[in-house]
Amino acid sequence: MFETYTIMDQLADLARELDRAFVTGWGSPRTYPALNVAETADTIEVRALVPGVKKEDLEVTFEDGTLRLRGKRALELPAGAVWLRRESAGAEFERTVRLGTPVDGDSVKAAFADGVLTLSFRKSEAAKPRLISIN
Amino acid sequence: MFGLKKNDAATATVERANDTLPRVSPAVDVLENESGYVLYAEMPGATKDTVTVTVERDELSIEGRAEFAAGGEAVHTEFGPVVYHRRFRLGRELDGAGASAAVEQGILTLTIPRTAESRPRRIDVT
Repeated sequence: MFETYTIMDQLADLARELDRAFVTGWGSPRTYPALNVAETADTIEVRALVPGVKKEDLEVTFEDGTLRLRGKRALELPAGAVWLRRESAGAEFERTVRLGTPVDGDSVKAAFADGVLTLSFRKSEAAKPRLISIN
Repeated sequence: MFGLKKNDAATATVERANDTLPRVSPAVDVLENESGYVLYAEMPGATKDTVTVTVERDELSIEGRAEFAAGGEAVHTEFGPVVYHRRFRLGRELDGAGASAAVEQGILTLTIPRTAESRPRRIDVT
C-alpha cells in the first residue's frame, strides 16, 4: 500500500508525534499555530505557520496589546474518496499572544505567503529606543 | 578522480547547506479516490523552487526547504529554518512515474494515479 519507508522515517514520525504532544498536549490547539516574534528598533514582527489555511478562513485581531489569530483549515474530502492517513493539526484553532512592547495598532502590515502569516507592527514612539545625551 | 567539476561543486555546496539545517518529517494527509492517491504534506515556508519530489522504482521521496528570513532580532522562537524530508514506498497499484505535484500555501499536493491495470473496471455482463 502506501507506507512509511524506513525505520528512520518511523522514528521521525514518532519524534514528530512526541514533539506535538510536548508542544500541544496531545491535540490541544492552544499552541497552534507556531509563532515567532522578532524585533528591530522600530518594529515588532510576528510570524505564524498556517499551512493550507486560506486567507478567508483566517481572522486576525489586535486589541489592548493582544494579538489573536483564529481560523480553520478546511480539508475537504471529495465525494467517493476516503482518508488513508490524517496527521495534520486540528481543523480549528485560536491563539492569542500578548506583545510585550507597546505598538501602534493601526500600523500593522500583514503578508501571507507559502503558508506563513507575517504581521509587522510599528512600535509606538514611547517604546522606541532613544539616545539620551548626557550633559 | 577526486576533483569536483564545477557543477558538482555547486551541488555539493547546496547539499552541505541542507545538511546544516534540521531535518523534519512533515505531517501528511493521504486520501484515496477512484483514480489513485492524493498526498498533502505540510511544508510551511517551502516553495515550488525549494521542493523536490523524486520517484525511483517504488520509492517516493519528498523534500522541501524553508528558510524564514529573520525579521529582526528573535524575541520568541518556536520554529526555524528546516529541511522537510520524508520517504514512502508506493504499492504496485500506483504509477509513480505518472505522479504530479504542486505547492501552494505551504502544502505540497501530490497526485499519484493508479496503474492502468489496477483501475476499477466495469465488466459488461453478456
